[in-house]
Amino acid sequence: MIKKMEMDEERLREVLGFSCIGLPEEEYAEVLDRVNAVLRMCDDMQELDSSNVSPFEWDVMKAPARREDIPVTWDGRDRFLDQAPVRDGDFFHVPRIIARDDVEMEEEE
Amino acid sequence: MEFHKLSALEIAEGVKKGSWTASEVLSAHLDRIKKFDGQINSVVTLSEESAYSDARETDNAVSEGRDPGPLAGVPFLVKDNFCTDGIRTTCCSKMLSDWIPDYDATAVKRMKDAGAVLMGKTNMDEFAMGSTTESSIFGPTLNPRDFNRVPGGSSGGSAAAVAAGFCPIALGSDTGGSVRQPSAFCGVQGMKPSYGQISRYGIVAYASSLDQVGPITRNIADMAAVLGVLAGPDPNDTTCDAYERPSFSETASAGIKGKKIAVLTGYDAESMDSPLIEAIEKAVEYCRSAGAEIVEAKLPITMKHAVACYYMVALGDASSKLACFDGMRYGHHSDGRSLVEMYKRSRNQGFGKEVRKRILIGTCILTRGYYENYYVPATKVRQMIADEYAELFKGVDSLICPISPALPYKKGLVEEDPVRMYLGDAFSSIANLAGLPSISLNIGFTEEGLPTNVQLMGPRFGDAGLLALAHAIENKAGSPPIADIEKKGGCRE
Amino acid sequence: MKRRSVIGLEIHLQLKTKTKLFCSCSSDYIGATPNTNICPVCLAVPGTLPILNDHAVELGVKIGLGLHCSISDNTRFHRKHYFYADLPKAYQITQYEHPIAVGGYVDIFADGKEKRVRVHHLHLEEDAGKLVHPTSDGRLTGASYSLVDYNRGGMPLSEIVSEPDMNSAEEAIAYITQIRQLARYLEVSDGEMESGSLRVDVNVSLSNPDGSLGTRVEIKNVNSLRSIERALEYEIARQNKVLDEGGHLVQETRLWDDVAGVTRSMRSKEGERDYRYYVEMDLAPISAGPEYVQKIRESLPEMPWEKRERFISEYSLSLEESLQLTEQKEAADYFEACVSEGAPAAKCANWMRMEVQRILRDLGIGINEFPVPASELGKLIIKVEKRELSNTQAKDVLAVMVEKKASLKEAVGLCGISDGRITGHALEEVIRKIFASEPEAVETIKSGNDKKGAKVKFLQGLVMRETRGSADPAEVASLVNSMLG
Repeated sequence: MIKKMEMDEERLREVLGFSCIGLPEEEYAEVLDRVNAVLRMCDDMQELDSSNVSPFEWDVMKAPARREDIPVTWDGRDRFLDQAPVRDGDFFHVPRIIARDDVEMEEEE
Repeated sequence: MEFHKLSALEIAEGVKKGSWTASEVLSAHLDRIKKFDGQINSVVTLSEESAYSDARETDNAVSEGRDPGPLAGVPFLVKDNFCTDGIRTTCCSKMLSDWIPDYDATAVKRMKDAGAVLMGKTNMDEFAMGSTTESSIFGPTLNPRDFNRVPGGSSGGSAAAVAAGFCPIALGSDTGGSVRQPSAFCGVQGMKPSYGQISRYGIVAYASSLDQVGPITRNIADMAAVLGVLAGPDPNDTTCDAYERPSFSETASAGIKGKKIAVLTGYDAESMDSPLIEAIEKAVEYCRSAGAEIVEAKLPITMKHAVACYYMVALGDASSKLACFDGMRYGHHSDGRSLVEMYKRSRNQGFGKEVRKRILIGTCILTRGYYENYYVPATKVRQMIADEYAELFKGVDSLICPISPALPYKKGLVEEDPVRMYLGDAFSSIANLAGLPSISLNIGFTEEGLPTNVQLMGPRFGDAGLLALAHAIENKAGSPPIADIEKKGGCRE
Repeated sequence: MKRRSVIGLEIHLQLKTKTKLFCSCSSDYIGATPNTNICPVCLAVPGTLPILNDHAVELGVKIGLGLHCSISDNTRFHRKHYFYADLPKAYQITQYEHPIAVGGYVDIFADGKEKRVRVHHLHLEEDAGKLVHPTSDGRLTGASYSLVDYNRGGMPLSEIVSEPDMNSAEEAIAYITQIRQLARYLEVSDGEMESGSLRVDVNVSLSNPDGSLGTRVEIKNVNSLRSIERALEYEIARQNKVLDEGGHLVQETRLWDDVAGVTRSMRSKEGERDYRYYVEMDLAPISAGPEYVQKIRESLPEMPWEKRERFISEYSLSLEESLQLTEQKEAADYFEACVSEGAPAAKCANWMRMEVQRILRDLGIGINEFPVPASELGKLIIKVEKRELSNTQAKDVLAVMVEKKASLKEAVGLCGISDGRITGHALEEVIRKIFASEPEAVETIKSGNDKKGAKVKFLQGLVMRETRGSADPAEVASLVNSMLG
């Protein structure tokens, strides 16, 4: 039995963080309405018995051969770096990863 | 010689014979674009220099006795989400407004290798998210059949360009109808081949398991020729099937004698614009007179659940595939005091409203709880839809159904009738969900000059058979004429 | 109160392919100029698609088989979504449900006994790029900006996840060592923690009095075996202390600070991260059917434990000797090549464990760089067996073979031992040894009291006996006389 779920503002706020997208508060309702409309359409799917069905997979006529392990050097590197918005010499430059009022994971690799 | 009135194959034959040059043909088409596209706004980037350079290459090949290719000298346009080497590729979004790729999409490369001449890029809904080509940063495209109406979307620019006689071939991308619906609105032939037929390499992705390159032409013989050029495996795309393709051009004229064709029933035909129902009836008649047997078919699971399924898959995947746009390596960049702020500002300023909303909706669907209870069941229902079709095609060769419940909308109008909205999405997305080949074929025009197309579908990788069906119907219906854009306003009152 | 420690390990092995997992960029990125080992695919340029590396699948299956896992056909890749500077697509392509290999084990020796540690699964995934922080200690904290290098992004990894079957730091180290050994034996990975081709995340909890699992803590940033030992020691003590004082443990990720010797809590985002895993539809299912797997299985070399057992039975070695010789495949191969020359296995084992090992240590090299071919060492050992050389002489000869990269024959000559004969410096050495063992005789001779020369003859005789007649009597006589002064 699948429960009928309704998306709320709390989840939407989380999603704004997950997707690094901003949305003015006055537009929250519209987005929630659209999400929930889609979910309501999906409720009808529950009437189908998909217990013996596995998730969608393509029928492949002929699978292409897997890629051979042969190195290839890309000749577009310099041009790419020239056009990169945040180029810093040989690197890409990003501002502070941990902001003061921002809660972020401290990943050490 | 009115070159723009020739079909692609006619142009190519003339170039090969030496009756005319690729450069002449190109020149004529460029002139037409410059004369009339100011109003229609189908082309967003015209790349004359490289086009003449490509044309010269074709002309050199001919004069040197080398084979210039099956599409020698044929000018073409591609939707602005096709990567083109040295030509800006914007997806009609601020996010990529200055981006110039250094590679050609495989589809573009194959067209060029076949001797075709790339003239430039066409207008689209931003990041292919829309069905009216009104959400582009370059402004809307008008429907060449009636300047007060939309050309459909998201490949509205490509469809309009072909309808306006700017080129005999244009390429678009079809994720949920984005080639076939604008083809219907503009009154041209549009095809979405089977998923895995043509390489997706170089097409800026919307949804990995739904996207497919779609050719748009004014006749089916040209369509078959283009498919023959584009289809085939590609080491840069492992979702492109490696099966041995038949000759699409040869099989297109096979006829449909003895074939069994199903007509879709079981949907609310009352909500459709009646000319479109008549178009179906005409198409059915043409099939009968060409020797085919007609049966009725119902697809209950598909018609009821395809739309929900499609939204789940398309929105989820879109939110994922658009995550690479963060302002670091390419595209629009806005500074931020922190990494996250930089991401947010770049994305908020680069993406338009509709794109941002769809990314959010798609992300919501994939989050904990919703994923397990909605997305995963949708993937199972998708299999059930594919199975329903597989079952259908065990007994019949093809399916005829509408592509759109409505004639082309007036500009700025928002479809409010929920049934029509639903049907529109249902008809157009089912071929993408099951990966089936589908053609949007023009049957005729209303008294007001609005096009009426029907949709033809076949079994997966049954593209050749589908082209044969389209060809047979087109033989009776005639291929659509170029829109009368010389007349101001375009449409008869 | 001492509670039972429960440890699980996630080991990331960088696969030894020539190219990255999803593109044809070279895998030889270490030391390369930043952002030169990149291409449109691993940079996530719009329109590009991942293309799976066939060799990576083969290596994944290989190590899966080495871990006694069952290999699953048609497994899928998934996308793991999060935004971070080292991740161009903003999702990592990994395997989430149904990984390519499941249900294996590793047998370890620790705390004096054998134990089986179960492997939950192995899956394939791509590595992220590297971040460089302009802080004094190179760490992220306090960095006002960071620099990104994508050279490593897209490298193929196999992640091996164990069951929480380990109960001590020693067992954890033994497990990692076994996996590393297996990876190297199979040539699936270099398995080096220093260069990052083997990385470990540690999960540790203390079980409750009723036996149920306690709160699990993940420890990251442990970059050496020693760090893992120390981190486990610290964390187990910390957890015990918290519980002893009546406190509660939090399920969290902690970073090991190698300098301070402590684990620190990572400030985590409010609410858990939701990676929104779903199937990667740009890639087909990974074909790894029974025939394919069987072919790979047949191509597998002898496993470390198989070699260990065989060395014990075939060469009558002790467990300890066998362990030492089979620790590295190259050493085991060397040993066997030595024995196949005809030298007795026990002696070869001894020579390798003592002399060779000492030389390697002194020179700071591995057996691969040892300049003496196994066959030459074998011949040397045979000479000792035949008593053509004494042990001492043989060591000298070996030293010359190493230093001068000389063959056995050349080295013997250089040491002044003619083939079959002991002469020159070698003979002098023997004579010196005899003199040292007969101080009274030497004293008598030197003080002029050996009128009849009987003592001299006595010493000469001893020398002849010592050299087993392989010295020239005339030379012995002349040297003895000259050395007596």
